[in-house]
Amino acid sequence: MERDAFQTFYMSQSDAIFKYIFFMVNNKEQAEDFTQETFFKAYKQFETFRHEAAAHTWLKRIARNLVYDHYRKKRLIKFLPLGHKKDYADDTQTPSEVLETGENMAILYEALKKLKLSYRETVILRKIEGLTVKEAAQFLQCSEAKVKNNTFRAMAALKKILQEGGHSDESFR
Amino acid sequence: MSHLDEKLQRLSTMKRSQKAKMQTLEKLTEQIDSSPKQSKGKTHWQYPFVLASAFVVCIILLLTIFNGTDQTAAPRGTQPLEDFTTEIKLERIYYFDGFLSIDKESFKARSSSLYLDVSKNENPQQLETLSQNLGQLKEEHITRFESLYNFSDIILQAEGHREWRLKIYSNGNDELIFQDMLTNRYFVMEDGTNEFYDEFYAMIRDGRQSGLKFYFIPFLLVLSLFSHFLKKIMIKKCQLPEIPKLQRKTGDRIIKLFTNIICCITFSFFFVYYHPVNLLILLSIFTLVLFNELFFDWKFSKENHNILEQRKYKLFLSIQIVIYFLMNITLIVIVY
Repeated sequence: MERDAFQTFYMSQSDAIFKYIFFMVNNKEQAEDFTQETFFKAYKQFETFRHEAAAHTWLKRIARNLVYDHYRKKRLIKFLPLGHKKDYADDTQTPSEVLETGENMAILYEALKKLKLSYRETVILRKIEGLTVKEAAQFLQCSEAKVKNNTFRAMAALKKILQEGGHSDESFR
Repeated sequence: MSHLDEKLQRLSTMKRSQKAKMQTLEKLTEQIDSSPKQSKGKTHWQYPFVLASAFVVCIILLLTIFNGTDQTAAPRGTQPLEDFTTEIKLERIYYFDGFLSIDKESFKARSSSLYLDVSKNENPQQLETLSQNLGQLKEEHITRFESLYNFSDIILQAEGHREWRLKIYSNGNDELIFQDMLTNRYFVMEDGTNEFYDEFYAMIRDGRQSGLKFYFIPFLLVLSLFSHFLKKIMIKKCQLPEIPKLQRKTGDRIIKLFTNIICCITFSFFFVYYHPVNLLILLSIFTLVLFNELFFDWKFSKENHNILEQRKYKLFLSIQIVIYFLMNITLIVIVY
């Protein structure tokens, strides 16, 4: 792929990839690094891209693998306290970009952070990105029934977290 | 749409910092520039790996040809047969049970049960009878070797790490002649009794029902049947795609065939020339054949199937490998 074409490709696709990674890892700096890594991998593996899926889905799949690898390593490091390359400090405050999206968004963002990874991913895909059940199932490579089930459970869990935090008012129903 | 859904949708309008976006692009450009340029053809490390394995097998083959197949040198602790008395308490006896393969030049018993054709006996009653008979041997000068038939090669082990290595011949009248492999002297029974012959023959008969061969053939049968049924079940239940033979790459097929031929030649070679065959060598050859098969299946699946099918294939291959190793361990534990 030519350099200029790749830069154009980055400019058009990177925001969506960044947002997906950001909601998955909840850390701006880390999300930027993973976005960079995703595009680097895409550049390297462009020959293997079979055009069976849209370029956006292909990129998001690379990003997803990176995120899951990150959590896998994190789990392993908990057991094996070995030195690792880079440690990202948790974002304790809700990023200003999230706050700008509207009233009470910090509460929702913090509740989303507390969801387990598979539920959080379903909410990101179905509710934030607005994918259909079929599209989400294709991306996650699972059945549509599983996506429906996970969405239902994830939303119930999210509501429970909000209620436990004392936010059971009308705006979160 | 609920309020919660609306709020979640609003999160998608989040703006990414343009400064951070450009910084990431800059870092990405640097990373691309500093990374080594990819060569046109993708390197497959697997080919040299498979060839190296085949090469190792060839080396074993050649070493065996040049170094010979016999291990006649007596290890430390081996005693001359004239020191054997009826007082000696035998702990075990290893004997080679492959009459057609015994010859005068080589000694084929090994002090381990991990050899096909080598059996072990630890029955105290039988050992006591053998010990009583062996203690009464007298030396004999043998002049006519033509009339002697090879009967068995044995290793006797007694307390205190003492060991005797004997070659037994028969003169055709159930009378046995013993050759001490350490001193190369010959012995016969003092009173010409056939008791040793009867006891030893009974021991061989018992050993055939519990020797390595007894487990090895069922092991092979169970392994191949299991592999066949597992594939059938996986294809049916998990929609595992079958790999059509003709769809494989020619290069892959050649390497796979080459490795299998090498393994086949080694396998036949060991059976024909290298007696007794060590179980571990056999299992190594089997492992090489199996991994050769699985590796190219996996490679095909990786190149031609989607991630979901690959995952199923990975599971199928992993199950096969785990079961194969479990069976190997079980076999070794049973035998050893």
